[in-house]
Amino acid sequence: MNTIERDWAVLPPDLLRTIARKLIDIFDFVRFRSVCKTWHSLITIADLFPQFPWILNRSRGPDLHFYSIAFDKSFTINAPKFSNKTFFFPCQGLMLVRSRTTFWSSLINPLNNCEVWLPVFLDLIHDQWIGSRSFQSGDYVVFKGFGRKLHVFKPGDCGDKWINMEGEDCSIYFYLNKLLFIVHSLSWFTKVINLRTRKTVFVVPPPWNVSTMPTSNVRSIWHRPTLIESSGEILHVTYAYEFKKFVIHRLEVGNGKENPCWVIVTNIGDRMLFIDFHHNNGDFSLKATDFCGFNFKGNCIYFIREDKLRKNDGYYSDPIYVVERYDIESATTELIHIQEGYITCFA
Amino acid sequence: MARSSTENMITLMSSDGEEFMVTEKVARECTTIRNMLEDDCVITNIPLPNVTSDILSMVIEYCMEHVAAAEKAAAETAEKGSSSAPAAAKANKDLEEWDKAFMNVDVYTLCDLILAANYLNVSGLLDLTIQTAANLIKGKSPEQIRKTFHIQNDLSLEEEEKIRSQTPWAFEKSE
Repeated sequence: MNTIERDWAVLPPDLLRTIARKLIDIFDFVRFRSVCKTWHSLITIADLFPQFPWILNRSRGPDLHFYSIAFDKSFTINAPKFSNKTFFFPCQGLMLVRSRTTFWSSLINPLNNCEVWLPVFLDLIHDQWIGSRSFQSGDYVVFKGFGRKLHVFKPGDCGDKWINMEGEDCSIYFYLNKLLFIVHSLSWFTKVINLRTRKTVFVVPPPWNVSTMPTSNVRSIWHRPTLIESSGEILHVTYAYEFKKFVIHRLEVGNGKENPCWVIVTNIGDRMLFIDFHHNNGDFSLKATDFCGFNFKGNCIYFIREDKLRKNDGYYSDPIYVVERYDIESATTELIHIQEGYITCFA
Repeated sequence: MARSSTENMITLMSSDGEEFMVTEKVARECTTIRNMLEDDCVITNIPLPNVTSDILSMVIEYCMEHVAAAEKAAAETAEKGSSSAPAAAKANKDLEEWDKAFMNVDVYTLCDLILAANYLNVSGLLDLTIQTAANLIKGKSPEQIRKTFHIQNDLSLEEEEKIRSQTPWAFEKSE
């Protein structure tokens, strides 16, 4: 038998982290971290397995109610920092919240209760914003305020001032790597602005010639586009209500010779897109192969939309929210779950 | 496969001086040894100061089983021209069952196997042992995890309270 007894508490850090990454259920992960000092200091939230997309109920804190698509179950996270606060649309693993007493806003990660206060008062008429996970290390955050104006903020930049982008039609916007993308709501031209220089870098024409179709028709058939970062590409996704079909394009920047344009995409491989039609700024992309053993399918779009059911008396019901999965190859949609809430992904 | 002389024998020596004769093919399952052989192909005797004899014998048992399974699959493919899917699925299942039975060890042996698989770089065995350890953690409270792995709780009450307050939801019953 062994003469030297190995001690699990002194397992090399890289091996310990490998074990941590196998703990798919976040509850297991957190309990594993709180076993002893060494494990707690070696394992950080960065070792957490990419968390499954959740549907977050629009309830009020401090209890947050989630439905997990992967586990097909609902659970509750008690997040004390959310008490007495109104929360808004989550993006990139952070939630924008506003105190109901002081009206000051902050960004909170509900899993570790890490909170970043926003240094200025926000007129949060619209509950939409977009930022990045690296927010704390000086990345930009963009909020939509009153009158569809965008507020661009960067900690430490210009003495923490807000830049109000005047005169832009800013209903559809997207942020990635210091670039702000604004899609014009009528013409669907995409303007790309470098936030460092505040200059327009380029303008991308819409993926198809909108002028050949009657404008009213385009708008009634097609849902406004959403932009998603996916495996290094920027995807432009539109949905035709009537035909229940998605159309995906990717951005081709063109190496300086040709003009940037949208190129049609008919297959996204093992990627899955997650789209919330009510809040088109937090849409994201994941790989099905990262979720082996779960009921996820690649080359699919998971989306949440509002629906109304026709009741027996001929009237329509109050809106319900349906989570559906669209198979890109077969162009078919299936119902996953009925749940009111935001589609989101925390880590 | 340039080097198909499976008859080549290699001697592996454990930390407590025991010698194990294995075919080169089995030894090559360990990436660490494969690299040594590629650097210096005349090596026939390899000392492994980090692995005890009982653990080394288990690692060799694992490698032999997996080499045999791979050879059997290759032979069947060569015979029929193509591998039949049901037969391959059954062989995979058998090997999985074997792995499962092989992992029926106490936590100390499991820890030694993880370290040995990591040192010798046997990726299949490392995956298997790490997954086994993760399975032992799943669904347990911190106290139950400590009991399973015989770990002392060196956190002070205040530290424990602080950890709990950061993620209070994880310590309550879900649902």
